[in-house]
Amino acid sequence: MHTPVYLDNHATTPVDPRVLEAMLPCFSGVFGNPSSRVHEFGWRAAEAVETARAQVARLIGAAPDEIIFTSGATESNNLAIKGVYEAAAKHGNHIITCATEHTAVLDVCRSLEKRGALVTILPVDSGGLLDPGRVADAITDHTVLISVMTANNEIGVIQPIEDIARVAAYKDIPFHTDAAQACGKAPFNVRMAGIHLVSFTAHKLYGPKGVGALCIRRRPPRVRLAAQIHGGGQERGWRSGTLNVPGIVGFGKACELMLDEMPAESLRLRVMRDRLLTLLRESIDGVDVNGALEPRLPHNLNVSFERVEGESLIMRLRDVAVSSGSACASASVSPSHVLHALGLTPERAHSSLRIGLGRFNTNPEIDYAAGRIIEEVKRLREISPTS
Amino acid sequence: MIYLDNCATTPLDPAVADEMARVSCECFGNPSSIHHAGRCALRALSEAREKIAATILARADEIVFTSSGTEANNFVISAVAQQPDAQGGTVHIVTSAVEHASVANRLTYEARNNPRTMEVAVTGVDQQGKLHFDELQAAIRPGTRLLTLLHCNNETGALLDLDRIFALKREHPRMLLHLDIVQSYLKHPFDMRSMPADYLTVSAHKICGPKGIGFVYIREGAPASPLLVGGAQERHRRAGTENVAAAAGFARAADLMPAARELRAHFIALERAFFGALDDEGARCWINGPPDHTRRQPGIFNLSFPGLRNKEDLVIACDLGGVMLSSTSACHSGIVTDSHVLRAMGLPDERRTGAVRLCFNKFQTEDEIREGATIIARLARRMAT
Repeated sequence: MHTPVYLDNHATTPVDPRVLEAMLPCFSGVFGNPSSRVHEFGWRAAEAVETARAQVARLIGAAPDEIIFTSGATESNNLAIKGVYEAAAKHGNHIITCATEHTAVLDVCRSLEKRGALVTILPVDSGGLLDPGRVADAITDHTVLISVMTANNEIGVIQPIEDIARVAAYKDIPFHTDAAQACGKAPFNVRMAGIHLVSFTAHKLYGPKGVGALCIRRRPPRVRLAAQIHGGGQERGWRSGTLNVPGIVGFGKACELMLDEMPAESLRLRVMRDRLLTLLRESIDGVDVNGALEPRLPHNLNVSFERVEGESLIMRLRDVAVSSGSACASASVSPSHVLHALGLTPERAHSSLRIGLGRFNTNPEIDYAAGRIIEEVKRLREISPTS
Repeated sequence: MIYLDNCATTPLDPAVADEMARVSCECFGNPSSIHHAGRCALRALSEAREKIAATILARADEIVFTSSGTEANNFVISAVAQQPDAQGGTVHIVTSAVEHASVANRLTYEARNNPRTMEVAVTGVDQQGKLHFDELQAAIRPGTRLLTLLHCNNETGALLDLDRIFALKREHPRMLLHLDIVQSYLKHPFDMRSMPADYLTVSAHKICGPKGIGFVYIREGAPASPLLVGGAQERHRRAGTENVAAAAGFARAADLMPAARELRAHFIALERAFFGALDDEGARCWINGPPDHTRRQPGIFNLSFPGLRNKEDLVIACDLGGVMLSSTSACHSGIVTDSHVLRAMGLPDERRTGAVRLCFNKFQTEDEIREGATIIARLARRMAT
């Protein structure tokens, strides 16, 4: 077994060696610019991109021409939300989203508020779930977009996306979902009713960093989108910039592997995750799962340890890589907005640990991590003044 | 196959691929994570940033990594456009008619979205692609917010006269200056301690580095509102998980580029070999752009062959004959349109329809270039009417 044990697969995943192998030929052989349509190196690069586009599309049940490559899920979220808002300027200015969204969605909405947008941020229940009825109630004549993530990046809770999509479809409102955590981890198919825009990224599914996608469905009502990066008009005008060919090829390979391996992999991860929780609960008391345990991503566990400060625990777990919340917010000391939205007390939010299992974790690693967590929780409780 | 389209993209240096594979495996973490894997990634990212900053003698915190040169250019225009004029007047931006599409189209987009608060003045160029300096000077007003110019033109290799531009900037210290140096980075020395530019934009895949990464240099105090929001990365100037492996590859590519002076000598020798071979074949052609190397980047040039009715025919014949070149910017290659650069230069139809763009890279040899030139010359002669 190799230490440190990496259990932070929500922040990023290691690149699968098979993905890296697929990328390497693009670094030398297929180095052309896919926009160079007048010579062979350009054609070969364009062909490699189109093969990857089909692989990426297949993972979520989309058509290849519905996939736009971006630099990551954050850019995809920026493009989807700002793009729809700008294109719909004549029709309205109201956006509906949810309190537990990734900052890439919440911050984009906040930036649009400065430009005149009206944003409704819907609350979730104590399990982290959004009631589709609340979405229906929030819709007004001016609503131009509904954006709700598929699975949460901190607590892994899976939203009732199909029901929310149905509400959106009924009112003919474009529906966007940030599926960065869900894609490849839980069954996800865009053919479900009313889904128009899906953001996802390669580095959460064992692909490279620096490449993501926005799926723009062609089903009616046809979603109108204003480009956010202008220039040479690549990606059918929606996203300019020379295509990251090796990154895209790696993304394609990662999606292909995911599609093949997801059923067995998610089962394996779920068994390991449940075993980890059982091990923790058998040895220590005051272990509370944050958010509903079901429906939740099979590889996610977010737990609070009573009378233990999460940050101190993480500091002591030098050989087990876990986090207290979103990596994007790791530098800040304020408690997670997600745990806050669940209505947890600040104490409980501060005593949380986010654990994200992944493809390369093994049973001995899980046993080791459980042992280390138990050891450090006990030690911290011993020295805690409140014990 | 002889690849002479290095303005579109360059082959990756094999050592860069090795570095990227190493970093992807050893430092796969998210640089925002505080555990070991995250710190390893952050260290790799910081080292890359330090190295990149050193290439233009800037500070590391003045470098923001982006996903491309296009994104970097969009960032600059958007950051300036987002900063409202303090006096409540319009945001006045001066540019030229021969900019890259990422600057030109972003400006069009901003002006369309803010018709009442933004104004863009476009300066023309002469027949050799040289900026009409008097026109530029006249376009700049006391309140002009931004002057955005391409340092080395991506279709003709024409270079901006930096001394005059810097003098202009010193006359108007409150006007921000952006230079798109995508084609001249590392080929031309940039020293940000003494050069008064506020923004520089660069792309890695033009220096035998990876696609999917570029950077924008932002002088401290210059507007830096993000184009992409939703995370605190890059000191709140660019959200999104950082592309660590590509950043490391970018720094390695910069490291592996020969010094500017060496590169210049290399490209001048290659050009000499190229034109020597054309002469040997008795080929006639015009250089569209400055003929001499004082005002043109060695190794980048645009040629017209007399009697060619359709430049795409020559480009495609060359491809079949084993030489890859292009007729215009790759970004526009999909559609056969006139080059906006050659049109702005006011070249006659005959020159524009027969024009091809050539660009060399650091790996190429005189023999290879001579062979390419011979093939081009023979095909051009056969196709001339």
